[in-house]
Amino acid sequence: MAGFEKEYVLGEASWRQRLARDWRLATHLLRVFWMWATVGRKLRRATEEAEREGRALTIDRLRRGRV
Amino acid sequence: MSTSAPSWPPPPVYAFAYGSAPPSGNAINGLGETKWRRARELFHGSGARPLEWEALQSYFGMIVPLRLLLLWMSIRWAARNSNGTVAKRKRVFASPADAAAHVKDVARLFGAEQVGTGAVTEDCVYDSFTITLPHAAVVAVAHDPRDMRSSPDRASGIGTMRAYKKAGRAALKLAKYIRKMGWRAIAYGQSAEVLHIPLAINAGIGELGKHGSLISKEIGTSFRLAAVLTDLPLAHDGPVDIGVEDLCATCLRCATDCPPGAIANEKQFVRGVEKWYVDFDKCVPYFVKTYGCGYCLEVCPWADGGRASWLSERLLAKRAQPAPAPAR
Repeated sequence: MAGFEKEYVLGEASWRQRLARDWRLATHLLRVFWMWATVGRKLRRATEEAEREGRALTIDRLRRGRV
Repeated sequence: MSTSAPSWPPPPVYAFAYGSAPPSGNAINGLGETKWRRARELFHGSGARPLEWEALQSYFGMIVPLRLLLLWMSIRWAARNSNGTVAKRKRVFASPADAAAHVKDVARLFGAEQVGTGAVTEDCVYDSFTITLPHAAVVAVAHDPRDMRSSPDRASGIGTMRAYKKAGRAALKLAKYIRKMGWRAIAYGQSAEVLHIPLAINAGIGELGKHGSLISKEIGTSFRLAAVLTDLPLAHDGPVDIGVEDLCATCLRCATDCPPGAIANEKQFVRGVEKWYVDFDKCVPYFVKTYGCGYCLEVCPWADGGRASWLSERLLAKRAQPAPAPAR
């Protein structure tokens, strides 16, 4: 695990390196958006349902987007 | 027909829970420890190490409103330019004080509402971070009061993210400007590599309040921070005394009003330092439920920038008054 700074923030770098970085970050952000739209949708619905029924949704298995 | 009165702020009842609870966030934060050590990432981490409370963080990321997610994405996209090429020719200032004054003027032009400069000390960074840039310029940007009026709810969460974006943008521009002057500079907006509150205390932005957030004489409590770490020698503003201790010692407002009761009335030892501390295990689930809470900041007597300045002057004047002579 490198962290955002090590993964996506460049110091002195060529335009090729910057372009590759931009591509990787854009892919990462699109993946996050996709997760929010798919897995997140299910979670938001499950949360609303749990709220209505007065129970709690177990979240232990949520790790780095895996459900 | 019976109707139940709307409950505001929402009660600390959660539609989510851990099946097997992670280690207490307070223990990871070092609550009760009398020996100094660096802080460990715990929530909203940089990704440098797996977090004990990661499931709750992932859950938070998945349930936030679309607007909040898009703001977060745009902040992350912009943050890729936190560092960059440094100009070969160095601009030299007559003194660190001159450099600090110049940096502050420029930061205000870039949208900062308050700016301070300070040292990057060991307590300002997480244990996985190595300090290479010894000076920091910290920028603060106030929330839009219209967004925060309904706190804690979606609107205030989105308002908070907007303030993060504005502060982050000011820091990114400032870092780029410093690099163009020939000095290394890295911007840290809504990031988890540095601890913004200790940095801001070192930079004289304000004092730590009972609610665990910073209180500024200029903009109150309702603001967000970003920082630029640099090797440009800057004069340090240093910690300030604006009278926060005098009021927080007796004021009960945030501690009483905090919906999950996370704010303690007494200072506690945290990693070897006695200070105000907010119970992580109580605060964070409520923070997730309300997309960012911030209720303590809104009920704080210091909340309003105009009032904060007046309050500070009154408290410091009261302290300066000579004690009354004992009655005979």
